[in-house]
Amino acid sequence: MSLNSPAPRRHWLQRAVLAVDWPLTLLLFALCGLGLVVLYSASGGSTLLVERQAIRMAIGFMAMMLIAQMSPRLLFRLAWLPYLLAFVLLLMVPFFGFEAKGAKRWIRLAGIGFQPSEIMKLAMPLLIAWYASRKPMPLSLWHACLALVLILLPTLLILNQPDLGTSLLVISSGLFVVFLAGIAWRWLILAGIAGLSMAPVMWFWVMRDYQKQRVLTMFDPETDPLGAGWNIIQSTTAIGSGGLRGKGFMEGTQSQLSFLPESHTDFIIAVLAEEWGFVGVLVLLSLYLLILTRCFMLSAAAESVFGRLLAGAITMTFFIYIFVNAGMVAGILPVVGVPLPMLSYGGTAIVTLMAGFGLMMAVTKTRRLA
Amino acid sequence: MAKMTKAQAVATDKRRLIFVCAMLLLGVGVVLGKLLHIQLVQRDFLLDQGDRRTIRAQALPAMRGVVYDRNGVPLAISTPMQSLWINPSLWDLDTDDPDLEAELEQQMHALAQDLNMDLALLESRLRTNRQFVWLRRMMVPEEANALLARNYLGLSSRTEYRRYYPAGEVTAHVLGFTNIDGQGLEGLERAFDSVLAPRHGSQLQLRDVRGRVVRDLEEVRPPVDGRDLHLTLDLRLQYLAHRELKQAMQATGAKAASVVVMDPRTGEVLAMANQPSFNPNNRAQLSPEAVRNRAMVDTFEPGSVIKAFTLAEAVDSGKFSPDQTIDTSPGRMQISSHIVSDFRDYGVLDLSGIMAKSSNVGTSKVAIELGYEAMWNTLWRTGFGQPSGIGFPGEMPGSLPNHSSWNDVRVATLSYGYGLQVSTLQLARAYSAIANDGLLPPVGLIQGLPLEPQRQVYQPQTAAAVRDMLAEAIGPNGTARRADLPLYSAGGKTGTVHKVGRSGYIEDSYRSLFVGMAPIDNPALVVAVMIDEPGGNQYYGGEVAAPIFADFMNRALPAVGVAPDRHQNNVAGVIGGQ
Repeated sequence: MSLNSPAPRRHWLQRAVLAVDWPLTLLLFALCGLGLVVLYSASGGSTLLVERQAIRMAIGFMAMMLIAQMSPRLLFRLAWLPYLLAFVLLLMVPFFGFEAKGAKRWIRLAGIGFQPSEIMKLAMPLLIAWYASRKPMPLSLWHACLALVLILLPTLLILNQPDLGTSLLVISSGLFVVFLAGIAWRWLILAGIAGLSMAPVMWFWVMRDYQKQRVLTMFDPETDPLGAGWNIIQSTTAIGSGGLRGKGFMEGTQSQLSFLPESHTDFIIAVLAEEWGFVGVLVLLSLYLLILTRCFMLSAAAESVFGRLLAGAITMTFFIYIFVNAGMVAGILPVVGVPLPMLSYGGTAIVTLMAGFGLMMAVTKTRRLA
Repeated sequence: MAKMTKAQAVATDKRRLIFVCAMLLLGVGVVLGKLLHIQLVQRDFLLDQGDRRTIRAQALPAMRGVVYDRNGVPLAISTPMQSLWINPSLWDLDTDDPDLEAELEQQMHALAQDLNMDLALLESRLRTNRQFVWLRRMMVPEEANALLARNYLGLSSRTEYRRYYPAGEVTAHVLGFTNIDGQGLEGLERAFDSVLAPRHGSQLQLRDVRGRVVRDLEEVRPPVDGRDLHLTLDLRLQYLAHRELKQAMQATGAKAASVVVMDPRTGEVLAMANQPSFNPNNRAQLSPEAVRNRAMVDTFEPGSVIKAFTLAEAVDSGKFSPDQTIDTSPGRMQISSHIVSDFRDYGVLDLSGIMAKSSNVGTSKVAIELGYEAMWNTLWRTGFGQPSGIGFPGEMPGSLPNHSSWNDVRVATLSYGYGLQVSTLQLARAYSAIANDGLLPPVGLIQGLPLEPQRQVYQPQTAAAVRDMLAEAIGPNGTARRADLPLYSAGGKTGTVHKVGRSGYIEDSYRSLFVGMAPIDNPALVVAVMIDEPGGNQYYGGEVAAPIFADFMNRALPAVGVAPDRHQNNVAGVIGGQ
């Protein structure tokens, strides 16, 4: 593209202000708004929590817009850097990290505490997309195996913290790239069988007791109604008592009266379900589906392999968030700590997710925009 | 695998994108289906489960019944107070969050200061695992509300009723008191607890997981206040009786004292006071000695006050006429090995003279003549040795032994009041029979309770004759001259008893008694006074107990509207003397 060729037609907003995908941005804005309203109720009318969450959302939006301005070329060149950084930090966690709620996930750098595993959620698809797009398509078995090693190393570190939810997200974000890069179906099927046969090994040697307990209680919450089953029993009670139309805003007895644990974090969808009923759940899921559709459109329209792989992986990771969280609260998946995007209270996840959307916008820009 | 073209590669990963999205969409569909199932199919069950977790019944406080005197003056009332309690389970004092810790620390200091409570004590209460701990009970509502307005974490209040006794120690023994939870512990509060006790209501409340009330739902059972109690007591007479008794206690240094004032025509107790007393509104220094309602709980040998019934039986039996004379010389008589003696030799006395001089020899001779059966019977008929039916907790019936082998000694000593145990209340009631033309009234303390009918225990003319004798006893020749009333005719009998110690009668330890009535022709009031161990030189019933009767009657009779029946120059004398 020559510098003196006439400027392509662009939306006036894009021309004047920023290189962002406005439909996606607006949808995210709506989702964040809904999230704050539900959080206000879930936290028992705490303006403090809502305020903090709003600040994080603002930071997230800024991060998204900043990253969206980056050129795909620059991102491609530096794609390995975040992975390396996050990996080194992950290695440091067992030695320099600090504990919270029985798990060592946090590390303090320059006075600010954060989770390196959170960076890995984005660094992983970046690296694998970068790696795969440099190899001939479709990915050969050899290259896929190399990619697998790159995926598994940090995943195991995170699993060791222990943090099942995050490791699940990290591993799937990497595997999605490999899958999208066209690895042959037969290898996928073989890997699936191998994975299933590994299940007993996982159960007896890898999984921790509390994780096993969570799986068991998913099948029958009443076995441990006051312990591991409590969350599930309470969340089903809350959801069920909502019915079709819900009990009304701030009227949910289960969620408002602290019967529902983690009501403002991982189990926030139960608050929505109790107070807004099935209708509210449908509205939320529709919003998610709209965002996913837009992401899907962006991914499919991406011009570079790198962009397509990365955007596709981020889209699916976003999907995984929703599926695992909703499945867990509904009692069809074990309890793993996966927040509900933009609704659950918690800073890092929101910023990570928004940064991910920024990445997606950056790499799916048309070449002309770069 | 063969190398694909770029277009093929694009097509591949687009297809795969679609494939993965379809799979995930399927997953979301499953979740949605599950949610739909929970929300629409299992809804009722789960709604019920939810309510069971959140809805609790809460007691609604109701008020304990009020106790009134006969004129409707409240004697025991309940005032609503606010009791502060806190939920310590909300206070996570060992939190890891430094901000929260500082906040709690600061709240705790402020709360301790507001409550004027020891910080360590408050902290120990907050560190318990419970969800309910009283912090301060029975606070004035304004003070409690001011504290609640400061929004301390988990601080709530509950309405409780504090029992208050306006007359304080004046009515303390009759009324008794309740504990802080409103249960009657002593006196009428205990005896009639089931009547006075309120029935607390019940209300459904929405509560959170920590038991905090979120909002009130329906009222399941309304609170029902306790029923009121109307006593026969007249607070004016009660005050008078209390005051006279207290003064006498201070003047004589006695150990204890009781007075019972009765309307002889109905048997209603108009006043019942004891010393020592206590302040029922502040029971910090409460000694069990002070709590006893001695007038009906303590029994003792009555001594000479019993002579009225010996002489009543003498007249009633027809064996003696009131003016019949008996020789009491030489003021002592020997019955087997026992010696009955008078204060001095009174010579020949008629029955009035025996009463007036309180001659032991005279009554002994009368009693031996009457026989043991008649002697025992006259006392039993007038209610000695039996509970009075007043229904007061701990009332003692006393004792009136019916010996298998009576001898003259036992008959003689019984005739002047030894060998039996009576209470001050029983004395007042028995004298009421004499005052009431021989009709023994039932004892009443609570208005509206069914009572036994009055019983004719003496012929009316017998009662009138004995009243004349009693009038003689406070006359110029009697032992109870100090019971004389300037404006009213009166009658009464003294008693001075050696107290019984571990080894028989104690030489210098006495009980002084006086039972009297006025006006003598148609008595409106019967008063029984008992002074236990008066100190100093004066211990005779006529010197210690009789003045209390006089001082009380002088004020009480006008108060209850009895017209003076003695000559007008006495009225002038009283007025002039003032």
